[in-house]
Amino acid sequence: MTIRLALATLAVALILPLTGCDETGGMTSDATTVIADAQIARQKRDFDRAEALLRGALDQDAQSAPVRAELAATLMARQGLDILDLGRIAQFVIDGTSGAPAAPAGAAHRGTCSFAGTGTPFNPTSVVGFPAIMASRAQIEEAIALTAPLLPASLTSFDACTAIAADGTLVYDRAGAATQLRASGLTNAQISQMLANNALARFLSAYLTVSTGLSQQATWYRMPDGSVGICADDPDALVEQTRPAVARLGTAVLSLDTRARAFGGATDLVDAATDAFADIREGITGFCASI
Amino acid sequence: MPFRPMLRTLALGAVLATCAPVSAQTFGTLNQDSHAGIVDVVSAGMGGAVAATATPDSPFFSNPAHIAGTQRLGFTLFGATAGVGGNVRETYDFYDQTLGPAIEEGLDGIRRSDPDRLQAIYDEAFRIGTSQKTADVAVLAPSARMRVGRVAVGLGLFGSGTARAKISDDGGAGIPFIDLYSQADVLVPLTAATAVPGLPFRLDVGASATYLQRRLTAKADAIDALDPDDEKVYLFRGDGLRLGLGAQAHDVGTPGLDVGLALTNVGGALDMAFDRSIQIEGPDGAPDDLAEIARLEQRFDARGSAAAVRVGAAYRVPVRVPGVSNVTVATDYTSASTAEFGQSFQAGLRGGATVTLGGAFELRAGLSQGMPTAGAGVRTRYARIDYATYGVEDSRLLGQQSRRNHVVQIRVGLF
Repeated sequence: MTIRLALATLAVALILPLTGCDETGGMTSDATTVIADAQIARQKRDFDRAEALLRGALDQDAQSAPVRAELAATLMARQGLDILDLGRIAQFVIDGTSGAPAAPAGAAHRGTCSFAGTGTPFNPTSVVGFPAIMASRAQIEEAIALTAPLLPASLTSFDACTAIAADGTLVYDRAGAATQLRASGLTNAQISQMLANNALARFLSAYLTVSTGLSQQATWYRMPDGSVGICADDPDALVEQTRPAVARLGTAVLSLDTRARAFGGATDLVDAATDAFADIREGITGFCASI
Repeated sequence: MPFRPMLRTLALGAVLATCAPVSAQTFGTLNQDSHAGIVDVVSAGMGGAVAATATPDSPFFSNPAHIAGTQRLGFTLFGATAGVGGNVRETYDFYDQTLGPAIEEGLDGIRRSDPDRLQAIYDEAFRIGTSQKTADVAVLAPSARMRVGRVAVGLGLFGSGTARAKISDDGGAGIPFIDLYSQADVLVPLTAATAVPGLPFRLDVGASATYLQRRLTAKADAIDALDPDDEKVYLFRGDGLRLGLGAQAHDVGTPGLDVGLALTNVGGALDMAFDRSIQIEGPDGAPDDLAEIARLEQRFDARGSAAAVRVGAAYRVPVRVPGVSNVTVATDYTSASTAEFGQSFQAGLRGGATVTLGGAFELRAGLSQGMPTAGAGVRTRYARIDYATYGVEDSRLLGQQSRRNHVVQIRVGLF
């Protein structure tokens, strides 16, 4: 009898783990555990599971900073959006490589424009991978919405023409922003990740807006010095229409700067982003002059 | 140029992802201190069941009561253990067939000519880098066991080194995140046990005290946070005692049925203090990053280290087949997690069997955390060599992040 009991115990011990009915395998309300499971699922590219776990956790606590940050990361990863996309766009804007085969763009705007004489017109939507980015617009916007409440005001409420000066100097309360982020319930690594994802999402969103979201004919020019210029029928209207996009670019730059200088990251990436921001802002004739 | 830092970051990440060294089955993390011990190769082959069946290392690290079985002087003069695991082959194939040629061809050129291919390489590097590779080594310095009257005692000196590295996309926006952790231990376990008289069955009880000197370092950052011109790793050191208690009852209810119970790793997490820095990149004499040191020390001090409870039963099957002996089946439950998270009950189950053939060859098989294990050994009076393959769950739930390991051990002494 005892032998049977011993063998039965052994059999249970051996078979139970094979049943797949791991006792904690279902949903759990512990946010830390949910995030850990979701991270593993994301890393294994099981995005359905990661998203389901995080949306469930968000239903229970919509204000949870770690859940919001991780869901934003999952959405971006699910769409395959990363700094490769950013690099491809930057390269395309600067020198035209990474462009999809397409007919050369001609000037679409009416009237005169200072960029038209020296610049080469191009179509910003012809960068390789643009359709995939465009198709990810909903996820990009959701990622921005998820991280927005986590961002300190100094990263979102600023003057695009003075907080980020033309020479690349960033004037904002970096220390205050870092302190506020540290008090948000996120670890340093989570903050760094969130800021990077936020910056990427805002860059892409801004690019989609200025390349497809204008209500008037506009022409992008690639200038010999690597900068860009945008000409439109109504320059004043262009400034107004691009203002939200430029603000998003600014938040992206400040996010990267806070990440790099307060939480560890590449400052050359910040410099590159700042240059890109300045290029686009200055490429919109009268953007700062009109403020 | 905006794309250059990105490309450099990605290239470095892709390379690191594939040469990511390692983790070991007894590693600690930034969240949890690891237990004091080395890989028990013999028990690993039979599913990790060890509470009620003794192995050469079990008296020191698993159940102190097992030393009570010592009848005469025995010792290990020296020995060594080496193990490897995880998706090592897949990693090698990826490097050999995909990443290596791509680097040789030039990642920048691929980015320009075939961005989809670069994206695919990038994604695959992450997939492979996230899955852990393992390697571990242990040195078995002299250890001895003997009987002094009614008490059996054992004293040993062990050294072990483990390291872990994982590359994920947790840096955000696809920026690689490096999670490095390495640990070197010196362990001096003293264990003693005796049989409790006056019981209807034999009951051995034992206790152990292990002096543990641990050195460790960690690096957990997005790859672009690492400074290629000035990067250091910071070594921390801690000392302490880990205590253990154990009991083993023999022939409980029926001949051959043994039951074991052990409480080990009592003593809490070590208090780690900064020891010294090691320059990885940059000039010697560069100042230490005090902020990084403070962050690491804070994290190491905040770690937990729970005591482990292990309970199990073993049945020595009576076999009367010539050349076949020591047939034992065993099962355990252990509360010790193999991950940095708490794990489910099922993840604590172990079970397996062993058989000795011809008096010198041992075969073992079992299941550990739902994964099959196997092992073999050759045993003589003066030397033994053992091999085991077994699975480890690196995450919270079975099947989430499973890892297969292979480990071999050789020891010379008097057994």
